[in-house]
Amino acid sequence: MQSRPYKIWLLVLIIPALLVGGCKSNKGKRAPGLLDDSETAEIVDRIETIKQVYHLSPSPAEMLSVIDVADLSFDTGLLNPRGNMDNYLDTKSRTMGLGVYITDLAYAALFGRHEETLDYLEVVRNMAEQIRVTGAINDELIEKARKNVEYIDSLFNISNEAFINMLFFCERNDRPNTVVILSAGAFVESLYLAVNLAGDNGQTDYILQHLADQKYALDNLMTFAESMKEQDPNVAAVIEDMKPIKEIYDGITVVAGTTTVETEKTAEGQPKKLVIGGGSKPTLSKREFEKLKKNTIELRNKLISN
Amino acid sequence: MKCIRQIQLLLLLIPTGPLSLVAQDCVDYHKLGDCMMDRQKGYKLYSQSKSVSMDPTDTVEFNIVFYGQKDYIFSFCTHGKLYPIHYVLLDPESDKVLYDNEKDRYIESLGIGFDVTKTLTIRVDVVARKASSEEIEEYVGCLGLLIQYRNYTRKKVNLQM
Repeated sequence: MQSRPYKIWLLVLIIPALLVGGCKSNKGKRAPGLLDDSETAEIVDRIETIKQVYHLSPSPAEMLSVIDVADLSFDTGLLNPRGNMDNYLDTKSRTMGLGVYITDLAYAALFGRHEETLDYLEVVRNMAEQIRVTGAINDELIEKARKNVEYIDSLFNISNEAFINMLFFCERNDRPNTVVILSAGAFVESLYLAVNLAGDNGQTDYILQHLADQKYALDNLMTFAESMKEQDPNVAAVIEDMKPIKEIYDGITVVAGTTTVETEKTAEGQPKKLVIGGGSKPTLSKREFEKLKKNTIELRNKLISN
Repeated sequence: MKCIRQIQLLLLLIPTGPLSLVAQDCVDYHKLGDCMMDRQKGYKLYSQSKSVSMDPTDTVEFNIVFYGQKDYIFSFCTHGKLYPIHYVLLDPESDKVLYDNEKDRYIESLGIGFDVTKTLTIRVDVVARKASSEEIEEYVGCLGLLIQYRNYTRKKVNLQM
């Protein structure tokens, strides 16, 4: 008993020491001031010592918004039924299911489907809570959706905000593996929607090009996934799931070209503007499209039926 | 009672400054920092906007997919001591430099129109002109890249295959 005060005072000394040791200290610094050019050059030379690389992919709403929905009709039959939510029992199927549902939410929002948008927002909230991605969709966001049912743009922004909130939550809580699995589910569902939209509607060529362009998003997603596979067997399983799709994209023709950069005149007060064009261009033949469609439908149906 | 008082004293004595450093959260810095000053009407926030923590000896690379037929605005922001921000746009296929903001006095905002869908590598470091040499070694701050986009307002280019 006598030693308790001693222990407490020891803690007083140790805890601050640990805290200071765990972060960057500023001790012994000189007063900051402007450096001359030679010092600046020296600093620039020392840069490039450490390189962090981030491979990023678009949100499902952004992937789908490339498609001009003006001439297309909304097909409820393409959505993953809400009732399927209860079938997902393990982390991987729940996380991929969440990716599927958030894409369906974006699809409904893109077509300005009020009822479906609100319904799927609720599904996404429940699924997110099941995998402990909490707070991404709060009452405020749902209320905002309710109040903005008339505005397609607002619904689109809300579905995008929900996805971005999930990314932020995962990043804050050091869950990059969840981002990979969620993004894979979202990617498969947006491909599924796109291959089904690429019917005989006059936009076929445009949607085919959009599908071919998904090669870039898939490459980034798979690079990110590869960096995570050792840490999470679920990520390794997702890579396996995605293999048939990746193989199709790896096999498509990429027409070589030179990237061009032009400077465009801008109005006063606007930032400098460049226009980037040319460069290589992936293309998808009808045969490759049919193969992609078949494999995508198979994979997506496997995902939603778990 | 004596013990409780000692615990209270202990909590008071724990310095709060280092705690704020430990808990530094850069995740949504681009939505809070100077970047938001560039927010433009009619543009949507791109989900690939990103913030990271970095120090003046770091180089960060973002590999980002940009859809064709869209105008984007890139806005970079950081803490006062880490300015100016140096960024280079690279074509990942050829590793060719498409743009270097050093030639434009390290401008922090740049508009880019993409005729076709493309991945860009954005390589970023901070020159930290106002930082002392010790700070260059030790200072950690947030770097934000806010990306906004809208559909092309000019004539569409032919995308038919």
